Amino acid sequence: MKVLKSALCLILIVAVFSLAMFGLNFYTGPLAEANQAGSALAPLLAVMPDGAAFGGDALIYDAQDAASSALTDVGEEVLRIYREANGNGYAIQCQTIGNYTGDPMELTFGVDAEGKVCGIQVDNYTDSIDARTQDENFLPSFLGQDSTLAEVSLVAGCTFSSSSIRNAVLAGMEALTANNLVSAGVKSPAQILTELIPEVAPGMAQGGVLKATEITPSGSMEAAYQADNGTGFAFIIDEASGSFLTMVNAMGGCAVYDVDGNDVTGSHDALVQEARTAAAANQQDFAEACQSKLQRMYEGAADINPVELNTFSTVVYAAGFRFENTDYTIFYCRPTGFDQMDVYVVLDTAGAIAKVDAKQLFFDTDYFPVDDTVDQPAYKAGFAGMTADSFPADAGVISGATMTSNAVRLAIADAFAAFSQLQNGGE
Amino acid sequence: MKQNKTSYLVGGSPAALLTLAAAFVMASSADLRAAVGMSVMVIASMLLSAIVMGALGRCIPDGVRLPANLLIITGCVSLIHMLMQAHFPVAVNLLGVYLAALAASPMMVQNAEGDGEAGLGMTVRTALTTALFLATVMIVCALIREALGSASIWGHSIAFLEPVKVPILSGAFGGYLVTAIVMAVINAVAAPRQTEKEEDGK
Amino acid sequence: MSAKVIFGILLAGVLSNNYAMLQFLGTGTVLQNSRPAKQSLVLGLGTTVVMLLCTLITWPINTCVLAQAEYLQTMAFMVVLIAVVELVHALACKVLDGFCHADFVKFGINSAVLGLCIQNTDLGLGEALITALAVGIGFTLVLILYSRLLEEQWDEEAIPAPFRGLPVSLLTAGMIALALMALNF
Repeated sequence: MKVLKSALCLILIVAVFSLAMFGLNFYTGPLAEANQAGSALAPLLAVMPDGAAFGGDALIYDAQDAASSALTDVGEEVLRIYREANGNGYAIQCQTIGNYTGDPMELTFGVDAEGKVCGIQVDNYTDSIDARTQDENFLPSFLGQDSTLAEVSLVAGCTFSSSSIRNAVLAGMEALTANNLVSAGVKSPAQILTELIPEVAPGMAQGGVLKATEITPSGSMEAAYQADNGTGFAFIIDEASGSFLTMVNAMGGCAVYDVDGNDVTGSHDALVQEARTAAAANQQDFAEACQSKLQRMYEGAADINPVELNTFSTVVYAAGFRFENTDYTIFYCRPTGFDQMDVYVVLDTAGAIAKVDAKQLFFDTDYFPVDDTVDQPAYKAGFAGMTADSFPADAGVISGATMTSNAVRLAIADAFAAFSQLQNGGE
Repeated sequence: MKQNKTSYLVGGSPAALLTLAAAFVMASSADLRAAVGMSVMVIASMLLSAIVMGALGRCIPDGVRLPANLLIITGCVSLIHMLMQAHFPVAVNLLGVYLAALAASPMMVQNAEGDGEAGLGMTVRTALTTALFLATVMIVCALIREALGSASIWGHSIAFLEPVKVPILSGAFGGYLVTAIVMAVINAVAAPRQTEKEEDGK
Repeated sequence: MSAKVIFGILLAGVLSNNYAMLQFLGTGTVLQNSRPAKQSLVLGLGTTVVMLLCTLITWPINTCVLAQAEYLQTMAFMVVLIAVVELVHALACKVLDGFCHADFVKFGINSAVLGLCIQNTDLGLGEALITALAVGIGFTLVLILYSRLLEEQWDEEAIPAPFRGLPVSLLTAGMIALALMALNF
């Protein structure tokens, strides 16, 4: 009896409270579900103006189920597009790849009804190197920009992954404009020409991102850039007939491009002169450094004759010389690996590598120090005899020092290209 | 409910109470929002369970008093948990399993050991005193840990504290350290009064 | 589940994810334990058995019965916990005569067990059982360690008066926690 009474007491307590919870659930259940849904939407609300809301049918594009969406021409960087419930714009979630680690990065940005970015945040930032190079003004520079992202800096020195982030946002904007969800912005000629620089002067860029510093423009110049590695200059010059991009390399070679990307050097001598004058005032002299290095590599080298090149690669100086009755050409290249590098590539008359040397191959500050594990003389000697045609795809790649070894490979490739140009009479 | 005749705290003294409740003080004091959430849970669930236990005290057979009181406490904790999920989701997300696990904490188990003889008034008074004391300790610890450990208050960062923040205070060790210091302060403040009481008693 | 995963879970439960020291679940039980090391070992093993049995019972209940009524989870788990502790206590009284203490019921019903059952609902059954075993071993280890520390004769005079008692116990526990935090892997 006592046991029965005790059991009954416990069962009664459990039953009463369970019923109470069951009843309370009618009130708290919907509220708790709404709170959960709200936390899932938190990244979207964070990039939209105050008062924004996303209903149950907000998702208008999902990359995992693209076929069921009415939207077309959506780039692969775009994961999801949400329509704000009150017609205040859209929230887009994108995925890109960090430039340093190659790991995926996710970001969310909002676009208001006028087609301008109203908020942006990186939700999953994996590139550790960005913590060292972070520019706190980079993400805010997206705010208020239309689909051209005109004011978003195209110049590196922001973050290592700035180009990835910018491209992801561009992809999201293009998805909206292609489907007429927002109106497209119009790029200014200056913006078009600045975006052209990494394409026509790869030596001034790294990973497709212009690595240059803005310098004071002169005369009719709208903008002027000096490559951080000294490979040349880019000037955006306004003329009556339009805006032009004028490039000057470290050896004085020049090229002029219009907004359509056409080479119009031959018909714009005035621009060439103006650009060369401006460049000469800021140009570094690489001749002395290269010739000094040449003497250390080939003691007694004679008949040193600088050559003129019209390339816009990492080559900043080139000269022919004679050593032990054999002619060679030395190319001084300044690629950017983990840090700024000075690489010297010597080719014989057949275009085969005679020697490769560098001022400093692996840096103390390298993220993956391989100084103790790599036989540097053997590494450099390993390139001897290779030609442009026989250069293997994986020659010189060092695991753990990919950026540095890729920079060495780039310098060698640029030397081959420059040599080829010389053989073809400078064309 | 175990209590000292001159103390309305579960356990009988601040030190004994904090020994029983230290885990939840430390778990919830990393963030002020969590501390406030846990305080609300402790106050509401202890009050509610005290009222129910006080009202049903004489009806529960002695042999099942502990499990019965524990189930009452668990029921009250669950009800308050549901209300907090609806109205204070931030704290619920921050506290996670600790809100539900409170039902089986040593403090609640001690609370459930009552002999049923204490009246409703005494039960409620003890519960209220205990809960308010714990809430105060939690909030003080949270203010110290969040400000000095994360350089923020209520999730909002405080710029001038960034250079001096000590991240370890936000972790497990910080919980032990700050709680120990707060308890030491309580001991230091309470010691002269305890000595006076003992002298008066003589 | 590979042996590597099992070993990882066991190591984590004992060291880097120790419930009593790092997750503050069961800490109160450890702090108020003043029993000798041998009794602490028996109580710890008893708690481990309770954890395993509770996980074995609550996991299927949560998966099959409570799917539509999550709000009943705490109540249901507490009922199971009380029943299992009473059962283990009754069995232990018969088997371990002399080591059976009335307060195992109070000891066994602790937040570590309830917290473990709730957290294990996110895992598969096999993983949950191994986690319960690991957490139980870690809990026992801390219990023994702490009781051994308390058995040492402390020079009370060397400790400032306000820090005597609970504060110095918390600082001691904090040092153990700091050592375990270093093993976070």
